[in-house]
Amino acid sequence: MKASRDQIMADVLGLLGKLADDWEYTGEITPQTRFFADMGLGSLDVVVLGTAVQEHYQQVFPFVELFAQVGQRAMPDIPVGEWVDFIYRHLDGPSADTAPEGSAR
Amino acid sequence: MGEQQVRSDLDVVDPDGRLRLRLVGWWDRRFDVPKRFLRFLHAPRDARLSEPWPAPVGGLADGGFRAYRLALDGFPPALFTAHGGIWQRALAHLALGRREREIWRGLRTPEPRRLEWLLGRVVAKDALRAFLEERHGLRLAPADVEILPDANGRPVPGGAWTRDVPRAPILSLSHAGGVAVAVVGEGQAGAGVGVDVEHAGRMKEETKDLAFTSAEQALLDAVGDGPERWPLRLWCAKEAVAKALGLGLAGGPRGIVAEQLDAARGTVRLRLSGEMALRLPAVDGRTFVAHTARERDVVVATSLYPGE
Repeated sequence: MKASRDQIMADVLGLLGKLADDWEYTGEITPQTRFFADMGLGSLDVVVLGTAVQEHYQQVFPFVELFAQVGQRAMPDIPVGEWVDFIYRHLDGPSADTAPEGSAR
Repeated sequence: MGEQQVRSDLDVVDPDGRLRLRLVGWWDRRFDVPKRFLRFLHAPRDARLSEPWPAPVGGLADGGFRAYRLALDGFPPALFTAHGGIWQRALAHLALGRREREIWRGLRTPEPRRLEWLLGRVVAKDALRAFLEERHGLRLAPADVEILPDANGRPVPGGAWTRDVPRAPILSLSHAGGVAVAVVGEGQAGAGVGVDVEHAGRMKEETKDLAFTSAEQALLDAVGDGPERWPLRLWCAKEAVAKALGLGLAGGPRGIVAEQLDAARGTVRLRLSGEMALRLPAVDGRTFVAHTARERDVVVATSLYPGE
């Protein structure tokens, strides 16, 4: 069964913590917290994070597509919630909220 | 109490020896502040904290571009974080104009990045002040040269001095891992310059697959993955071009693609691709050149977009 969004959020924050020694965001992290403007990450940080996510879930994700979409915005930035959502949608495996076919309940 | 602190009990007496005032537990703290920093605090108009850095600029030097560099390791460790961050605040209040201080106060990024942001401002102001003095004979204090982001987040120099020059210089700045770099020069209308700095070790093997196309990885394979740090230099080259165009690489590394690496000269030729090409049709198809350099564990790239 694949991870829930909450689990993915926790995983992502854990990976961020490992990436940069000085990374400790003092504010509360919500789905709206943005990588660049709020957390002060650089674009290379996000690419490195993408690699860490792939390693963590042992799966390739089409982050290049997400980056391209983000690039179309006037002030490109990625809210954590969008990042987590993207991972969730592309994560392999049945999700907790869709019952497998044929289940009785 | 050691070399750094003095704790005193002080009696203030009048000429007849009567006790007028007693202070108990008065602390004096000694700060070892570098001379350069002290001079800057005392005479900001005359002093600079940063140093010229020839390495990044390469061919751009002929066009009058200069790079400056300011590194945290040039200061005693914890100078800016100790004692409630008093020296960081002193620097901010000295170097920043009012609107910049509002931005600095509003930054919610982790403390080390907030300090880096400040160093980035300081080095950019040093670079601009040096340029304005050299070219136009203006001697300005750091706070006189305001740097405010435009709609795309690009740092733009401003202030009353812009009335005294025919055209404002163009600027780019970058900071990573305690090193801040700024590049300044004269540009035609519509021109832009970009600089990007990174620390070695940031580009892991797996990161290359996400950061680079297979054609780019082939270029990298040809130059090898040694101490010259070409994968990271290629990354910085893309970022420098993106910044020269007034955007960042937030839209993804695939928007700017390398076509050629010259390992001997340290240059990279790139062009726009995908979303970036759609976004900037006027420059689609053009070749951009980035100059890259490596100095110890720091990698840097610059690029100039000369305008239409």
